[in-house]
This record gives sequence, C-alpha cells and structure tokens, in this order.
Amino acid sequence: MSDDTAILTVDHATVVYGSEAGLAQAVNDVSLAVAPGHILGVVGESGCGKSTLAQAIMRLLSPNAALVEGRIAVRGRDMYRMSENELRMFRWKHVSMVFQSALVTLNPVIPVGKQFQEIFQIHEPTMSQVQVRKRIEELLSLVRIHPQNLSNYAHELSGGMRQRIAIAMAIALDPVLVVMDEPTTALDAVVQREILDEIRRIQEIKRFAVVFISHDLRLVSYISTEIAVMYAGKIVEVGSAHHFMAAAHHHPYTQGLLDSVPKLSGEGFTIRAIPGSPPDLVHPVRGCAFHPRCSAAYDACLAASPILRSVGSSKFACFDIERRENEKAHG
Amino acid sequence: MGERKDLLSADNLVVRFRQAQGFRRAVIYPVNQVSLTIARNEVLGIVGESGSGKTTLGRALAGMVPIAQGSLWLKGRNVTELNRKRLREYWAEVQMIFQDVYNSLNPVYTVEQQLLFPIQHHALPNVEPDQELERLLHLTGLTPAAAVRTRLPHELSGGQRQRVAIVRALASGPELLVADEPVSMLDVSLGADILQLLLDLRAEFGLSIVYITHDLPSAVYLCDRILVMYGGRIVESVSADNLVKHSQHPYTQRLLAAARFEGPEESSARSSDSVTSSVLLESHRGCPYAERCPIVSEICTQTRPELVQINSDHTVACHAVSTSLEERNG
Ligand SMILES: Nc1ncnc2c1ncn2[C@@H]1O[C@H](COP(=O)(O)OP(=O)(O)OP(=O)(O)O)[C@@H](O)[C@H]1O
Ligand SMILES: Nc1ncnc2c1ncn2[C@@H]1O[C@H](COP(=O)(O)OP(=O)(O)OP(=O)(O)O)[C@@H](O)[C@H]1O
Ligand SMILES: [Mg+2]
Ligand SMILES: [Mg+2]
Repeated sequence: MSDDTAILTVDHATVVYGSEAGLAQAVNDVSLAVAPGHILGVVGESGCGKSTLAQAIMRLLSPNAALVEGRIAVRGRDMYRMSENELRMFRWKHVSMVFQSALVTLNPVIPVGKQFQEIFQIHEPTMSQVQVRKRIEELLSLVRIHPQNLSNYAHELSGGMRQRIAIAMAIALDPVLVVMDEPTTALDAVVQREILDEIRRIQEIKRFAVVFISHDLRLVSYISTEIAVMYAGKIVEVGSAHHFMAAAHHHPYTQGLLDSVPKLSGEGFTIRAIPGSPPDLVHPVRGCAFHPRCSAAYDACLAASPILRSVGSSKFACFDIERRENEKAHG
Repeated sequence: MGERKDLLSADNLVVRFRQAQGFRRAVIYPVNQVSLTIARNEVLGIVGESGSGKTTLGRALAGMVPIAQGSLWLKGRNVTELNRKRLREYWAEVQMIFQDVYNSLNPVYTVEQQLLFPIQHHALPNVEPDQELERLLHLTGLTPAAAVRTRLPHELSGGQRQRVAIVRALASGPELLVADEPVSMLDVSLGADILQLLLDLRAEFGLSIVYITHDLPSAVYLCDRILVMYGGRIVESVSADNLVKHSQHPYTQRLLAAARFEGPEESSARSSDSVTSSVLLESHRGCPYAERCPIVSEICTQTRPELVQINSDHTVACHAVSTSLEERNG
C-alpha cells in the first residue's frame, strides 16, 4: 500500500517488545497510508497496540521495543533512516504527537507558557517575542484555555486543561502530520466536540494529516475520514468513515464494538460487553486472533490467520466475510 | 451532622488554591460551598466541564487537599479536625483512583509488588492473597495474569495501568471509593465490565462510590444520584433515573445533547473566553454559567442563583427554573 501523495505511509510494520515473559508482537504487519487533509481514526480495545503503533510512527518506541520489519515514511522520508539530529528537528516541526498522558509532554518544573516558548525558540528562532506571544494566544483560544494559565505549572491544571495544552503544542508549528493518542479522554463531550470541530476546521485549511487514536468508536466515526480497527496488533478492518456506521459488513470484532456503544434513551443507557478475555500477545493462538471470542468462527479461522482483503468499499481480515462474499459471487 | 445512614457528608465545603496569573497571584475557588451526602451503598456521580472542580472535590472528600471552610464528616466523625495519625486511618477507609494513571503507580514496583501488599493487609482470614490477586486480575481483564504480574508500570498500556490502579484501590477494602475517571481510557465493553465489577462490590461489601466522570452515559448507567458541577459549584443534583428525562439546568441539557452527538455545531455557540478562568475567582458575580447560557437574563449576571428544591430528589440552581417554578405555584 504505497500512495505517492500520502503524507504518512506505513508498510508492513511489525513491532516487538522484549520482556521477561518472552517476545510480544504489539504491532503485527500493519500497512496504512494517510493523505493530506485526511484523518485516520484507529480504534481497538485496551492493549491492542494503538499507542505502540503511534510511537513507531514517531520513532519513539520504548527501549525494549523495536520495529523489526517494515518501513515508516513521512512525506517519503524514512523515519528510521534519519540521524538523531535530523529526527530532533523533524519532530514538532513536521510531525508531532499528542501523548496518551499529557504529563509525558509537560515538564513538571517549568510553567507551561515557558515550554511553549521553547518550542518556538528552537524551531522558529527568527520569530520575534511578540509574534510568538500572539501565536501562542491564538493556539490557546483554539483549545479554550485562558492565556493566564500560561504561568501555571502542569500540576496546577486540571486533567482536561493539560490535554488541551498538549494539543495546542502539537499543532503549534503547523506540522504535516499529527499523531494524537487518545487526546480527548479527559474531556467532557461539550469541550471534546468543540476541539474536534476546531481540529477539522484548521485541518481543512492547512491540509495536514492526522492519525487519531481512540477507544471510542462513536468519537472516531465523528471526526475521521477513514477508520482502521485494530485487534491483537493487526488491522482487521479498514474503510471510509462515511460508510462505516451504515456498512453492510463488519468484522465480527467491529460488530461487537458497535453493539457495545451505549444507547441513550428515555430508559437511560444500555451497554453490551464483548465476551471473553483479551488476546495473549506473547503466546498468540493459532489462526485468527479473534476466533476464541467470535461467534462466527469456523474451522478455517482456527487453522490460519486471515489477511486484509477488499470486500465492497472496505477491507477485512475475516474468513467468514470472505466465505459469504464467495457464496454470493457463485450464486 | 448528617443522618445515621450517611457514610460521608460535606457541609459547605470550600477549597482555595493560590495560582500565579500573569504577574499577579490570584486566589481561585475550585470547590465553593459544596454540600453533599453519600449514603452507605450509594453510588454518587459527579459530572461537569473540564476545570469545573471535579477532581479537586474528589481529592477533598478523600482528605487529600486542605479544606478552607466548611466541614466533612465520615460516620459522624469530623474529618477536618483529624490529626495526622487519624488521617492515615481515614485514607485506608477512603480510597482514591486518580485521573492520571501515569503518575499514580510506583514506577519501580511490578504489578505484583504494587498489589500484594494491600491484599495481604486487608484480606479476609480465609483468603489466600495470591489467589485473590489472580482473581482480581482476571476480573479486570488483566490477562494472562501470570505475565501481567511481573510487569513494571511502563510496560503496560494506558488502559492496563488504569486497571491496575483500580485493583489496588479495591484491594485495601475501602468503605468509600473515590474514582476519578476510572474507565476513561477503556473501550465501552471493558469499561462496562469494570463498572459492573464496582456494582458487584457494592452489593457484596456495601461499598459506597463517588464516580467522577465527564462521560454522562456511564454516570447514568452506574450512579444512583448525579451532581452536575460548573465553576466550582453544584448547579444540579438529581437521581440518575430522572437526569435524562427531567434535568432542568441549561448546562446539564447541553451536556446531554453533546452526549447524544446532537445539537448545533458547537463552534458557533462558543464564547471567546476559556471555561475556567474567571468563574473560579472570588470576585466573580452572578451565575457561573451566565456567560455561556442560551437563556441568560439580566439577573443571572448580578446574583448567584441558590440551589432550589424541585422535588424530593431534585435540586437546581438556575434563575430561569426558579422563576417558572414560582409562576406555576402562583
Ligand atoms: N514497554 C513495554 N514492554 C512490554 N510490553 C509492553 C510495553 N509497552 C506496552 N506493552 C504491551 O504491548 C501491548 C500493546 O500496548 P499499547 O500501549 O500499544 O496498547 P494500546 O492499544 O495503546 O492500549 P490502551 O488503549 O490501553 O492504551 C499491551 O499488551 C502492553 O501490555
Ligand atoms: N494544585 C493546584 N494548585 C492550583 N490550582 C489548581 C490545583 N489543582 C487544580 N487547580 C485548578 O483548579 C481548577 C479545577 O481543577 P480540577 O482538576 O478540580 O478540575 P476537573 O473538574 O477535575 O477538570 P477535568 O475534567 O479537566 O479533570 C482548575 O482551574 C485548575 O487549574
Ligand atoms: Mg494506549
Ligand atoms: Mg479532573
């Protein structure tokens, strides 16, 4: 899957963690591409490898992890062929990341405003103090933070305020790619919507690409142009967000996620959980990783692991969908 | 203070913080004259906007921030007057799950080391700590348990850390659990399992829970009663059953619309000011929501509305609601 116009291309990426228990494949043969102006939403349950994928894209993997296979390129430049120095200048300016915890980005002993200024001092040394100040205030108003809060330390801000500041920092230098790892988990629905609308608005003007990671399918379908569903380190379904909620087929895992979206009615909310326990990445089961929890599983699913194939306008890694498609094609 | 069945009650609680604001130092009131009671076995929800004071209120209830005014009572004992030793006992009875899990686990202890100690300390005599640990790990989906036990916090995903923090809080057998966004990083399916676990523990051990969240659907699902906070104050208090159908405060209604993903594009309705800055200052006058309220009137910018009882389980602080109530009653 290489797209010349894409800002981000990930080709057959596999990431492995080494630990006492053995090797864990947290990202398993993942390929994807994101074009300018597009937002790729990545959903999947806790522990399926979303943050690992994000860190792999940024080349910010933990010391005990490695990209053992595949290639990751931003604007055609291989992230893993840059020198440390090139990489340092490339991050923030061209690619930036909002981490799952804002405390990763924010330094506890420096007021947040000073950290903001440092980003500009390092990457835009020609900007004047006044220009920097004005730009920071613009950015803060996007995420609804008062400039007064610039003199605060991270611990003096609420969880959601910290997240919003981390979002503002990530888009500060107009990067071409922003990777957002659960950027709005600490925010209520009202502020969440405001910020997402704002991200989409500036994204339409600046045409940057976004990888938006979340465990919330409804949120992802609201903001994204494409949606990828991950299970046990693999992409099991990917397609346009436009058709997503109404699509005829879904991977059984996606269907489980859709069914577990709480419904708001006069009676309150009902929630349905997906049965079974999350997969073991160190000792993966034979066959499709989802088969122990899948009601549609049959013998093929126990024997081999399905790969992504196009069915209609989406792609699926599911033998059951393939089988049903074949039956339809042959009468 | 407080009725017999109340486990915890807070009376006009005020928390004050000093913050640098520009070149000056300002005093803010993230918790301002908050009164509430939590009965045994009750699940009380606290919802509200980012920066409205939810975490600070939770920390105050857990005895972790100084209380500037008002009083806090646990089982008839005045917590605000406890000495250090007694406060430590209080912390065992009242456990808190923190919003930011990247900070709340000890980075140099494995999962097993974090959890076995509280389990050993509080386990019932016929419970084997090791088995109890396995059981809790399974209940929270931290499987395969054998592999998870030996991990350090940084070797876990965000949602896995959150679940370890939940297990740790539950392991010490608290009477009250203050859970600050405990499932914010989990998908609905797993989140639902954990909320169910909390409900089971309540049924089994009579645990009371303060559930702090920005997520209205899960609050309605889990809670008996819900407090809606805005600008450091409670603006509405209502049973979870009635929240969806009968809530009255314009801010609660806006939250509901956003939870349904409906309503006007938020960007057209936004005010230029931030949510949190000025309404928490002492000098603030009027209703904290006035600046953003679609039905604001003159009085709202002048006088702060008091909480008014609408019926036995429903109070609202809103001038528009009070006025229409008075008109109806003649
Ligand atoms: N440093 C590490 N060493 C070993 N295993 C790790 C390490 N970091 C993560 N893992 C494991 O790799 C898997 C994927 O983790 P990752 O953080 O990518 O998940 P995630 O999809 O982001 O989950 P969440 O939604 O809970 O944040 C998990 O099972 C996790 O336990
Ligand atoms: N230690 C502190 N010192 C000074 N100010 C603080 C401190 N902790 C919180 N604040 C301020 O108190 C206000 C309320 O913060 P709090 O964390 O209680 O909000 P919250 O409702 O939990 O928000 P969120 O949903 O974003 O987590 C914020 O304006 C914050 O900046
Ligand atoms: Mg993650
Ligand atoms: Mg909070």
